[in-house]
Amino acid sequence: MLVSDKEMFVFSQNGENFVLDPNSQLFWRITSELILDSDVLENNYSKLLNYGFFKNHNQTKEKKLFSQFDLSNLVINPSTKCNLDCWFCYSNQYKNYNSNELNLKEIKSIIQKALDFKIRNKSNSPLSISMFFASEITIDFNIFLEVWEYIEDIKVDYNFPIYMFLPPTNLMDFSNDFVEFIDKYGYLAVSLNFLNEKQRKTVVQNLNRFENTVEKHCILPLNAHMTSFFDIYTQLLNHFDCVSMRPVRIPHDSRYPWTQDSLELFSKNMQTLVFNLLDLNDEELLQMLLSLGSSDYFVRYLDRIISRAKYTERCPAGKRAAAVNPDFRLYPCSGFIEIEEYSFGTFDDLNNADLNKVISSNLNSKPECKECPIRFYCGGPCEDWKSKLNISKFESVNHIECTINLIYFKNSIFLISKLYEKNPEILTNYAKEKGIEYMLSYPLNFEDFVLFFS
Amino acid sequence: MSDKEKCGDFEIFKDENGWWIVENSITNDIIGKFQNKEDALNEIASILQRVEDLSENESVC
Repeated sequence: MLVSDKEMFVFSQNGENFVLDPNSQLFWRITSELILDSDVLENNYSKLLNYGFFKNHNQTKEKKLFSQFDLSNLVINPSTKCNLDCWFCYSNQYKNYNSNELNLKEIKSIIQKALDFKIRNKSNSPLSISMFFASEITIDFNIFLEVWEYIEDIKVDYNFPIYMFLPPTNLMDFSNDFVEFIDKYGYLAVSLNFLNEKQRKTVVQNLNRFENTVEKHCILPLNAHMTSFFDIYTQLLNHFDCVSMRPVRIPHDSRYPWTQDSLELFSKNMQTLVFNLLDLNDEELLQMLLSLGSSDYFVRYLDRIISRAKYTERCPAGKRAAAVNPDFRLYPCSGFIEIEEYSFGTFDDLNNADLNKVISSNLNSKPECKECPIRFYCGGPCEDWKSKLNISKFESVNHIECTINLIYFKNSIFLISKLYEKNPEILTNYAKEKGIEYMLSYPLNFEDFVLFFS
Repeated sequence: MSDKEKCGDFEIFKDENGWWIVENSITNDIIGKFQNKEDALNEIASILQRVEDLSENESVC
Protein backbone atom coordinates (compact mmCIF):
# COMPACT_ATOMS: atom_id res chain seq x y z
CA MET A 1 0.00 0.00 0.00
CA LEU A 2 1.04 3.56 -0.47
CA VAL A 3 1.79 5.06 2.93
CA SER A 4 -1.17 7.36 3.58
CA ASP A 5 -1.12 9.97 0.81
CA LYS A 6 2.64 9.78 0.31
CA GLU A 7 4.26 8.64 -2.88
CA MET A 8 6.00 5.90 -0.93
CA PHE A 9 5.16 2.20 -1.19
CA VAL A 10 6.15 -0.02 1.72
CA PHE A 11 5.56 -3.72 1.26
CA SER A 12 6.80 -7.10 2.38
CA GLN A 13 7.60 -10.25 0.46
CA ASN A 14 8.64 -13.54 2.00
CA GLY A 15 9.15 -11.86 5.37
CA GLU A 16 11.41 -9.11 4.04
CA ASN A 17 10.45 -5.46 3.82
CA PHE A 18 10.92 -3.06 0.95
CA VAL A 19 10.33 0.58 0.07
CA LEU A 20 9.57 1.82 -3.42
CA ASP A 21 9.64 5.34 -4.77
CA PRO A 22 7.04 4.83 -7.53
CA ASN A 23 8.18 7.83 -9.57
CA SER A 24 11.93 7.34 -9.74
CA GLN A 25 11.40 3.56 -9.46
CA LEU A 26 14.19 3.33 -6.92
CA PHE A 27 13.58 0.57 -4.41
CA TRP A 28 15.32 -0.40 -1.22
CA ARG A 29 15.34 -3.28 1.19
CA ILE A 30 14.70 -2.46 4.84
CA THR A 31 16.99 -4.59 6.97
CA SER A 32 16.05 -3.21 10.37
CA GLU A 33 12.58 -3.57 11.83
CA LEU A 34 13.20 -0.21 13.56
CA ILE A 35 12.90 1.56 10.23
CA LEU A 36 9.30 0.36 9.94
CA ASP A 37 8.32 2.38 13.01
CA SER A 38 5.99 5.04 11.64
CA ASP A 39 7.94 7.97 13.15
CA VAL A 40 11.27 6.68 11.83
CA LEU A 41 9.74 6.03 8.43
CA GLU A 42 8.23 9.51 8.37
CA ASN A 43 11.56 11.05 9.36
CA ASN A 44 13.46 9.18 6.63
CA TYR A 45 10.77 9.97 4.12
CA SER A 46 11.09 13.68 4.91
CA LYS A 47 14.88 13.59 4.58
CA LEU A 48 14.71 12.04 1.13
CA LEU A 49 11.77 14.19 0.10
CA ASN A 50 14.06 17.22 0.48
CA TYR A 51 16.21 15.77 -2.29
CA GLY A 52 13.28 15.18 -4.63
CA PHE A 53 12.66 11.52 -3.89
CA PHE A 54 9.05 10.36 -3.43
CA LYS A 55 7.80 13.33 -5.39
CA ASN A 56 5.36 13.03 -8.23
CA HIS A 57 7.02 14.80 -11.13
CA ASN A 58 4.63 13.25 -13.65
CA GLN A 59 2.95 16.40 -14.75
CA THR A 60 6.12 17.86 -16.14
CA LYS A 61 8.17 14.79 -17.04
CA GLU A 62 5.79 12.59 -18.96
CA LYS A 63 5.58 12.90 -22.65
CA LYS A 64 2.44 12.27 -24.57
CA LEU A 65 3.77 9.62 -26.85
CA PHE A 66 0.86 9.01 -29.15
CA SER A 67 -1.01 12.07 -30.28
CA GLN A 68 -2.37 10.37 -33.36
CA PHE A 69 -2.62 6.96 -34.91
CA ASP A 70 0.66 6.11 -36.61
CA LEU A 71 0.37 2.62 -38.03
CA SER A 72 3.52 0.58 -37.50
CA ASN A 73 2.13 -2.85 -36.71
CA LEU A 74 -0.62 -4.53 -38.68
CA VAL A 75 -2.06 -7.96 -37.98
CA ILE A 76 -4.33 -9.52 -40.56
CA ASN A 77 -6.53 -12.37 -39.41
CA PRO A 78 -7.88 -14.03 -42.54
CA SER A 79 -9.66 -16.84 -40.70
CA THR A 80 -10.11 -18.66 -37.39
CA LYS A 81 -9.18 -22.11 -38.66
CA CYS A 82 -7.21 -24.18 -36.20
CA ASN A 83 -6.44 -27.85 -35.64
CA LEU A 84 -6.64 -27.41 -31.87
CA ASP A 85 -9.44 -26.05 -29.72
CA CYS A 86 -7.70 -24.47 -26.71
CA TRP A 87 -10.21 -23.25 -24.15
CA PHE A 88 -8.33 -19.98 -23.52
CA CYS A 89 -7.90 -18.95 -27.17
CA TYR A 90 -9.36 -15.54 -27.97
CA SER A 91 -10.48 -16.66 -31.39
CA ASN A 92 -13.15 -18.82 -29.70
CA GLN A 93 -15.11 -15.66 -29.09
CA TYR A 94 -14.67 -14.61 -32.68
CA LYS A 95 -15.97 -17.90 -34.04
CA ASN A 96 -19.33 -17.05 -32.53
CA TYR A 97 -19.60 -14.01 -34.72
CA ASN A 98 -18.06 -14.62 -38.06
CA SER A 99 -17.29 -17.45 -40.40
CA ASN A 100 -16.01 -15.37 -43.28
CA GLU A 101 -12.49 -15.75 -44.57
CA LEU A 102 -10.28 -13.34 -46.41
CA ASN A 103 -8.83 -14.57 -49.66
CA LEU A 104 -5.40 -13.63 -51.01
CA LYS A 105 -6.78 -10.79 -53.15
CA GLU A 106 -8.54 -9.30 -50.14
CA ILE A 107 -5.42 -9.61 -47.97
CA LYS A 108 -3.36 -7.78 -50.60
CA SER A 109 -6.05 -5.13 -50.79
CA ILE A 110 -5.86 -4.57 -47.01
CA ILE A 111 -2.07 -4.26 -47.15
CA GLN A 112 -2.36 -1.76 -49.98
CA LYS A 113 -4.89 0.28 -48.03
CA ALA A 114 -2.59 0.25 -44.99
CA LEU A 115 0.32 1.49 -47.11
CA ASP A 116 -1.86 4.17 -48.70
CA PHE A 117 -3.00 5.23 -45.23
CA LYS A 118 0.62 5.68 -44.11
CA ILE A 119 1.48 7.71 -47.19
CA ARG A 120 -1.66 9.82 -46.81
CA ASN A 121 -0.65 10.54 -43.22
CA LYS A 122 3.00 11.18 -44.16
CA SER A 123 4.14 8.40 -41.85
CA ASN A 124 7.70 7.16 -42.37
CA SER A 125 7.78 4.76 -39.44
CA PRO A 126 8.55 1.12 -40.28
CA LEU A 127 5.55 -1.12 -40.85
CA SER A 128 5.56 -4.70 -39.59
CA ILE A 129 2.87 -7.00 -40.87
CA SER A 130 1.80 -10.32 -39.47
CA MET A 131 -1.05 -12.74 -40.01
CA PHE A 132 -2.91 -15.59 -38.42
CA PHE A 133 -3.09 -14.42 -34.81
CA ALA A 134 -6.62 -15.82 -34.66
CA SER A 135 -5.90 -19.10 -36.45
CA GLU A 136 -3.14 -21.64 -37.08
CA ILE A 137 -0.59 -20.43 -39.60
CA THR A 138 0.46 -23.88 -40.84
CA ILE A 139 -3.05 -24.63 -42.15
CA ASP A 140 -2.90 -21.83 -44.71
CA PHE A 141 0.85 -21.48 -44.95
CA ASN A 142 0.66 -21.17 -48.74
CA ILE A 143 -1.27 -17.92 -48.27
CA PHE A 144 1.38 -16.66 -45.85
CA LEU A 145 4.09 -17.46 -48.43
CA GLU A 146 2.20 -15.65 -51.16
CA VAL A 147 1.78 -12.59 -48.97
CA TRP A 148 5.46 -12.79 -48.00
CA GLU A 149 6.46 -12.77 -51.67
CA TYR A 150 4.03 -9.96 -52.40
CA ILE A 151 5.59 -7.80 -49.69
CA GLU A 152 9.09 -8.63 -50.91
CA ASP A 153 8.03 -7.37 -54.36
CA ILE A 154 6.40 -4.12 -53.31
CA LYS A 155 8.52 -2.98 -50.36
CA VAL A 156 11.16 -1.38 -52.59
CA ASP A 157 8.52 1.13 -53.72
CA TYR A 158 8.17 2.67 -50.25
CA ASN A 159 10.44 4.98 -48.33
CA PHE A 160 9.76 3.25 -45.02
CA PRO A 161 10.84 -0.29 -44.13
CA ILE A 162 8.20 -3.01 -44.40
CA TYR A 163 8.72 -6.26 -42.51
CA MET A 164 6.69 -9.39 -42.24
CA PHE A 165 6.97 -11.69 -39.27
CA LEU A 166 5.57 -15.04 -38.27
CA PRO A 167 2.98 -15.63 -35.56
CA PRO A 168 3.39 -18.56 -33.17
CA THR A 169 2.29 -21.98 -34.40
CA ASN A 170 0.94 -24.91 -32.40
CA LEU A 171 3.31 -27.13 -34.43
CA MET A 172 0.83 -29.99 -34.65
CA ASP A 173 0.87 -30.55 -38.39
CA PHE A 174 2.80 -28.74 -41.10
CA SER A 175 4.29 -29.07 -44.56
CA ASN A 176 7.89 -29.35 -45.67
CA ASP A 177 7.47 -25.85 -47.12
CA PHE A 178 7.01 -24.60 -43.58
CA VAL A 179 10.14 -26.43 -42.40
CA GLU A 180 12.18 -25.03 -45.28
CA PHE A 181 10.92 -21.52 -44.61
CA ILE A 182 11.67 -21.70 -40.88
CA ASP A 183 15.13 -23.14 -41.48
CA LYS A 184 15.93 -20.09 -43.59
CA TYR A 185 14.07 -17.65 -41.35
CA GLY A 186 15.99 -18.91 -38.30
CA TYR A 187 13.28 -18.42 -35.68
CA LEU A 188 10.31 -20.49 -34.60
CA ALA A 189 7.71 -19.48 -32.01
CA VAL A 190 5.49 -22.27 -30.71
CA SER A 191 2.39 -21.61 -28.65
CA LEU A 192 1.93 -24.56 -26.32
CA ASN A 193 -1.03 -25.54 -24.19
CA PHE A 194 0.93 -27.21 -21.41
CA LEU A 195 -2.11 -29.09 -20.12
CA ASN A 196 -2.57 -30.76 -23.51
CA GLU A 197 -0.30 -33.79 -23.24
CA LYS A 198 -0.86 -34.78 -26.85
CA GLN A 199 0.34 -31.38 -28.05
CA ARG A 200 3.35 -31.49 -25.71
CA LYS A 201 4.47 -34.83 -27.11
CA THR A 202 3.78 -33.86 -30.73
CA VAL A 203 5.64 -30.58 -30.41
CA VAL A 204 8.70 -32.23 -28.90
CA GLN A 205 8.80 -34.74 -31.75
CA ASN A 206 8.18 -32.12 -34.42
CA LEU A 207 10.91 -29.79 -33.18
CA ASN A 208 13.41 -32.32 -34.51
CA ARG A 209 12.34 -31.52 -38.06
CA PHE A 210 14.03 -28.11 -37.88
CA GLU A 211 17.70 -27.25 -38.10
CA ASN A 212 19.58 -26.84 -34.81
CA THR A 213 20.46 -23.31 -35.90
CA VAL A 214 16.80 -22.24 -35.67
CA GLU A 215 16.09 -20.34 -32.45
CA LYS A 216 13.12 -22.06 -30.86
CA HIS A 217 10.89 -20.03 -28.57
CA CYS A 218 8.08 -21.62 -26.57
CA ILE A 219 5.21 -19.28 -25.72
CA LEU A 220 3.26 -20.79 -22.89
CA PRO A 221 -0.15 -19.41 -21.93
CA LEU A 222 -0.12 -19.58 -18.14
CA ASN A 223 -3.43 -20.56 -16.60
CA ALA A 224 -4.76 -20.97 -13.10
CA HIS A 225 -4.47 -24.76 -13.21
CA MET A 226 -0.70 -24.79 -13.75
CA THR A 227 1.74 -25.34 -10.89
CA SER A 228 5.49 -26.04 -10.45
CA PHE A 229 6.64 -23.23 -12.72
CA PHE A 230 10.31 -24.05 -12.25
CA ASP A 231 9.75 -27.63 -13.43
CA ILE A 232 7.77 -26.39 -16.41
CA TYR A 233 10.53 -23.97 -17.42
CA THR A 234 13.30 -26.55 -17.00
CA GLN A 235 11.34 -29.25 -18.78
CA LEU A 236 10.67 -27.03 -21.79
CA LEU A 237 14.18 -25.63 -21.87
CA ASN A 238 15.35 -29.14 -22.67
CA HIS A 239 13.73 -28.63 -26.06
CA PHE A 240 13.53 -24.87 -26.59
CA ASP A 241 16.12 -22.08 -26.52
CA CYS A 242 13.78 -19.84 -24.56
CA VAL A 243 10.41 -20.01 -22.87
CA SER A 244 7.89 -17.24 -22.24
CA MET A 245 5.11 -17.83 -19.77
CA ARG A 246 2.33 -15.27 -19.71
CA PRO A 247 -1.07 -15.29 -18.04
CA VAL A 248 -4.12 -16.09 -20.13
CA ARG A 249 -6.68 -13.33 -20.55
CA ILE A 250 -9.93 -15.15 -20.05
CA PRO A 251 -13.56 -14.52 -19.04
CA HIS A 252 -14.91 -15.46 -15.61
CA ASP A 253 -16.74 -18.49 -17.01
CA SER A 254 -13.60 -20.13 -18.42
CA ARG A 255 -12.53 -23.63 -17.56
CA TYR A 256 -9.87 -22.40 -15.12
CA PRO A 257 -10.81 -18.81 -14.29
CA TRP A 258 -8.69 -16.44 -12.27
CA THR A 259 -10.34 -16.31 -8.85
CA GLN A 260 -9.18 -15.24 -5.42
CA ASP A 261 -8.20 -18.85 -4.68
CA SER A 262 -6.39 -19.40 -7.96
CA LEU A 263 -4.56 -16.09 -7.60
CA GLU A 264 -3.37 -17.14 -4.15
CA LEU A 265 -2.14 -20.40 -5.63
CA PHE A 266 -0.42 -18.46 -8.41
CA SER A 267 1.27 -16.30 -5.78
CA LYS A 268 2.57 -19.39 -3.95
CA ASN A 269 3.79 -20.89 -7.20
CA MET A 270 5.69 -17.70 -7.99
CA GLN A 271 7.31 -17.71 -4.54
CA THR A 272 8.36 -21.31 -5.06
CA LEU A 273 9.78 -20.44 -8.47
CA VAL A 274 11.90 -17.67 -6.93
CA PHE A 275 13.28 -19.97 -4.22
CA ASN A 276 13.98 -22.67 -6.82
CA LEU A 277 15.93 -20.11 -8.85
CA LEU A 278 17.88 -19.05 -5.77
CA ASP A 279 18.90 -22.68 -5.17
CA LEU A 280 20.81 -22.69 -8.48
CA ASN A 281 24.49 -21.85 -8.63
CA ASP A 282 25.38 -18.45 -10.10
CA GLU A 283 26.10 -19.70 -13.60
CA GLU A 284 22.97 -21.86 -13.80
CA LEU A 285 20.87 -19.02 -12.46
CA LEU A 286 22.18 -16.51 -14.98
CA GLN A 287 21.63 -18.98 -17.80
CA MET A 288 18.11 -19.73 -16.64
CA LEU A 289 17.19 -16.04 -16.44
CA LEU A 290 18.62 -15.44 -19.89
CA SER A 291 16.49 -18.33 -21.20
CA LEU A 292 13.25 -16.65 -20.23
CA GLY A 293 11.76 -15.29 -23.44
CA SER A 294 11.03 -11.72 -24.42
CA SER A 295 7.31 -12.05 -23.75
CA ASP A 296 7.65 -13.80 -20.39
CA TYR A 297 5.79 -11.81 -17.73
CA PHE A 298 8.29 -12.54 -14.97
CA VAL A 299 11.22 -11.42 -17.07
CA ARG A 300 9.22 -8.39 -18.12
CA TYR A 301 9.14 -7.25 -14.49
CA LEU A 302 12.72 -8.27 -13.79
CA ASP A 303 13.94 -6.24 -16.77
CA ARG A 304 11.80 -3.24 -15.98
CA ILE A 305 12.97 -3.16 -12.36
CA ILE A 306 16.64 -3.54 -13.26
CA SER A 307 16.50 -0.90 -16.00
CA ARG A 308 13.93 1.22 -14.14
CA ALA A 309 12.05 1.48 -17.40
CA LYS A 310 9.09 3.79 -17.16
CA TYR A 311 6.04 2.77 -19.11
CA THR A 312 3.33 5.34 -19.62
CA GLU A 313 1.60 3.21 -22.22
CA ARG A 314 0.61 -0.41 -21.90
CA CYS A 315 1.07 -1.39 -25.52
CA PRO A 316 0.75 0.05 -29.03
CA ALA A 317 -2.78 -1.31 -29.59
CA GLY A 318 -4.94 1.30 -31.23
CA LYS A 319 -2.09 3.82 -31.29
CA ARG A 320 0.46 2.22 -33.55
CA ALA A 321 -0.98 -1.23 -33.96
CA ALA A 322 -4.17 -2.51 -35.51
CA ALA A 323 -5.72 -5.84 -36.36
CA VAL A 324 -7.85 -6.34 -39.43
CA ASN A 325 -10.41 -9.07 -39.44
CA PRO A 326 -12.40 -10.79 -42.17
CA ASP A 327 -14.98 -8.02 -42.02
CA PHE A 328 -12.21 -5.58 -43.16
CA ARG A 329 -12.67 -3.54 -40.02
CA LEU A 330 -9.89 -2.33 -37.78
CA TYR A 331 -9.53 -3.23 -34.11
CA PRO A 332 -6.80 -2.24 -31.62
CA CYS A 333 -5.52 -5.83 -31.46
CA SER A 334 -6.56 -9.34 -32.41
CA GLY A 335 -8.12 -9.85 -28.98
CA PHE A 336 -11.00 -7.52 -29.83
CA ILE A 337 -12.11 -9.31 -32.91
CA GLU A 338 -15.69 -8.56 -33.77
CA ILE A 339 -16.38 -6.57 -30.61
CA GLU A 340 -18.34 -3.75 -32.12
CA GLU A 341 -17.57 -1.06 -29.55
CA TYR A 342 -13.81 -1.46 -30.11
CA SER A 343 -13.87 -1.27 -33.87
CA PHE A 344 -12.52 1.97 -35.24
CA GLY A 345 -13.69 1.65 -38.79
CA THR A 346 -11.66 0.90 -41.87
CA PHE A 347 -8.53 2.44 -43.39
CA ASP A 348 -10.83 4.45 -45.66
CA ASP A 349 -12.76 6.19 -42.89
CA LEU A 350 -10.30 6.13 -40.01
CA ASN A 351 -10.20 9.22 -37.86
CA ASN A 352 -8.37 10.02 -34.68
CA ALA A 353 -11.47 11.24 -32.84
CA ASP A 354 -12.90 7.73 -33.01
CA LEU A 355 -9.63 6.27 -31.84
CA ASN A 356 -9.59 8.40 -28.73
CA LYS A 357 -12.91 6.90 -27.78
CA VAL A 358 -11.58 3.39 -28.20
CA ILE A 359 -8.62 3.60 -25.87
CA SER A 360 -7.57 6.51 -23.71
CA SER A 361 -4.03 7.26 -24.66
CA ASN A 362 -2.06 7.73 -21.47
CA LEU A 363 -1.63 6.29 -18.01
CA ASN A 364 -2.41 9.71 -16.57
CA SER A 365 -5.87 9.56 -18.07
CA LYS A 366 -6.69 6.49 -15.94
CA PRO A 367 -7.65 7.80 -12.49
CA GLU A 368 -7.20 4.56 -10.55
CA CYS A 369 -3.82 3.86 -12.12
CA LYS A 370 -2.58 7.23 -10.82
CA GLU A 371 -2.78 5.85 -7.28
CA CYS A 372 -1.01 2.59 -8.11
CA PRO A 373 2.60 2.31 -6.87
CA ILE A 374 3.68 0.01 -9.71
CA ARG A 375 1.91 1.93 -12.49
CA PHE A 376 5.12 2.76 -14.38
CA TYR A 377 6.22 -0.88 -14.48
CA CYS A 378 2.85 -1.93 -15.86
CA GLY A 379 1.84 0.98 -18.10
CA GLY A 380 -1.88 0.52 -17.54
CA PRO A 381 -4.48 -2.17 -17.98
CA CYS A 382 -4.80 -4.49 -20.94
CA GLU A 383 -7.99 -3.40 -22.67
CA ASP A 384 -8.41 -6.83 -24.22
CA TRP A 385 -8.34 -8.51 -20.81
CA LYS A 386 -10.87 -6.00 -19.49
CA SER A 387 -13.21 -6.68 -22.37
CA LYS A 388 -12.98 -10.44 -21.69
CA LEU A 389 -14.17 -9.71 -18.16
CA ASN A 390 -16.91 -7.35 -19.36
CA ILE A 391 -15.21 -4.40 -17.68
CA SER A 392 -16.14 -1.19 -19.41
CA LYS A 393 -13.42 0.52 -21.40
CA PHE A 394 -14.14 3.63 -19.34
CA GLU A 395 -13.02 1.87 -16.15
CA SER A 396 -9.29 1.59 -15.60
CA VAL A 397 -8.98 -1.31 -13.22
CA ASN A 398 -9.02 -5.02 -13.83
CA HIS A 399 -8.37 -6.36 -10.34
CA ILE A 400 -7.29 -9.75 -11.65
CA GLU A 401 -4.58 -8.28 -13.84
CA CYS A 402 -3.55 -5.81 -11.12
CA THR A 403 -3.17 -8.66 -8.62
CA ILE A 404 -1.14 -10.74 -11.04
CA ASN A 405 1.09 -7.77 -11.86
CA LEU A 406 1.68 -7.05 -8.18
CA ILE A 407 2.63 -10.70 -7.58
CA TYR A 408 5.13 -10.54 -10.44
CA PHE A 409 6.47 -7.23 -9.19
CA LYS A 410 6.98 -8.30 -5.55
CA ASN A 411 8.60 -11.58 -6.51
CA SER A 412 10.89 -9.80 -8.95
CA ILE A 413 11.94 -7.27 -6.32
CA PHE A 414 12.61 -10.08 -3.85
CA LEU A 415 14.66 -12.05 -6.36
CA ILE A 416 16.67 -9.01 -7.45
CA SER A 417 17.33 -8.06 -3.84
CA LYS A 418 18.54 -11.60 -3.07
CA LEU A 419 20.75 -11.66 -6.16
CA TYR A 420 22.21 -8.32 -5.16
CA GLU A 421 23.16 -9.84 -1.80
CA LYS A 422 24.36 -13.12 -3.28
CA ASN A 423 26.43 -11.78 -6.15
CA PRO A 424 25.61 -8.43 -7.84
CA GLU A 425 27.55 -9.57 -10.91
CA ILE A 426 24.66 -11.89 -11.76
CA LEU A 427 22.51 -8.80 -12.21
CA THR A 428 25.06 -6.71 -14.07
CA ASN A 429 25.98 -9.63 -16.34
CA TYR A 430 22.30 -10.33 -16.94
CA ALA A 431 21.71 -6.68 -17.92
CA LYS A 432 24.76 -6.71 -20.17
CA GLU A 433 23.74 -9.94 -21.93
CA LYS A 434 20.20 -8.67 -22.42
CA GLY A 435 21.35 -5.27 -23.63
CA ILE A 436 19.38 -3.42 -20.97
CA GLU A 437 20.68 -0.57 -18.88
CA TYR A 438 21.61 -1.50 -15.31
CA MET A 439 20.01 1.23 -13.23
CA LEU A 440 20.46 -0.09 -9.71
CA SER A 441 23.80 1.60 -9.08
CA TYR A 442 22.90 2.84 -5.63
CA PRO A 443 22.77 1.21 -2.18
CA LEU A 444 19.73 -1.07 -2.14
CA ASN A 445 19.85 -0.96 1.64
CA PHE A 446 17.44 1.78 2.76
CA GLU A 447 19.37 2.61 5.94
CA ASP A 448 22.63 3.15 4.00
CA PHE A 449 20.84 5.24 1.40
CA VAL A 450 19.18 7.50 3.95
CA LEU A 451 22.46 7.85 5.85
CA PHE A 452 24.21 9.12 2.72
CA PHE A 453 21.64 11.88 2.33
CA SER A 454 21.56 12.74 6.04
CA MET B 1 41.16 16.05 0.29
CA SER B 2 38.39 14.83 2.59
CA ASP B 3 37.28 11.20 2.84
CA LYS B 4 35.12 10.01 0.02
CA GLU B 5 31.50 9.27 0.80
CA LYS B 6 30.03 6.57 -1.36
CA CYS B 7 26.50 6.06 -2.64
CA GLY B 8 26.58 3.06 -4.95
CA ASP B 9 28.49 4.03 -8.09
CA PHE B 10 28.76 7.65 -6.97
CA GLU B 11 31.19 9.35 -4.60
CA ILE B 12 31.49 12.81 -3.21
CA PHE B 13 34.56 14.38 -1.65
CA LYS B 14 36.08 17.79 -1.01
CA ASP B 15 39.18 18.57 -3.10
CA GLU B 16 42.24 20.65 -2.18
CA ASN B 17 40.57 23.82 -3.49
CA GLY B 18 37.48 23.37 -1.36
CA TRP B 19 35.18 22.16 -4.16
CA TRP B 20 32.77 19.31 -3.51
CA ILE B 21 33.34 16.81 -6.29
CA VAL B 22 30.77 14.29 -7.54
CA GLU B 23 32.45 11.39 -9.24
CA ASN B 24 31.33 8.17 -10.87
CA SER B 25 33.60 5.68 -9.13
CA ILE B 26 33.22 3.06 -11.87
CA THR B 27 34.23 5.27 -14.79
CA ASN B 28 36.19 7.82 -12.70
CA ASP B 29 34.29 10.55 -14.54
CA ILE B 30 33.89 13.80 -12.64
CA ILE B 31 30.20 14.58 -12.84
CA GLY B 32 30.38 18.01 -11.27
CA LYS B 33 32.07 20.42 -8.85
CA PHE B 34 29.98 22.23 -6.29
CA GLN B 35 30.58 24.96 -3.77
CA ASN B 36 28.79 23.13 -1.01
CA LYS B 37 28.01 19.57 -0.06
CA GLU B 38 24.27 20.08 -0.27
CA ASP B 39 24.50 20.91 -3.97
CA ALA B 40 26.68 17.84 -4.54
CA LEU B 41 24.12 15.63 -2.82
CA ASN B 42 21.36 17.23 -4.85
CA GLU B 43 23.27 16.39 -8.01
CA ILE B 44 23.47 12.72 -7.07
CA ALA B 45 19.79 12.70 -6.09
CA SER B 46 18.96 14.23 -9.46
CA ILE B 47 21.00 11.62 -11.34
CA LEU B 48 19.38 8.79 -9.41
CA GLN B 49 15.92 10.11 -10.19
CA ARG B 50 16.60 10.25 -13.90
CA VAL B 51 14.33 7.82 -15.63
CA GLU B 52 13.63 8.08 -19.30
CA ASP B 53 10.01 7.61 -20.25
CA LEU B 54 9.65 4.55 -22.36
CA SER B 55 6.89 2.81 -24.12
CA GLU B 56 6.49 -0.73 -25.25
CA ASN B 57 7.81 -1.16 -28.71
CA GLU B 58 6.62 -4.62 -29.48
CA SER B 59 3.24 -6.05 -30.24
CA VAL B 60 3.75 -8.98 -27.89
CA CYS B 61 1.47 -8.33 -24.99
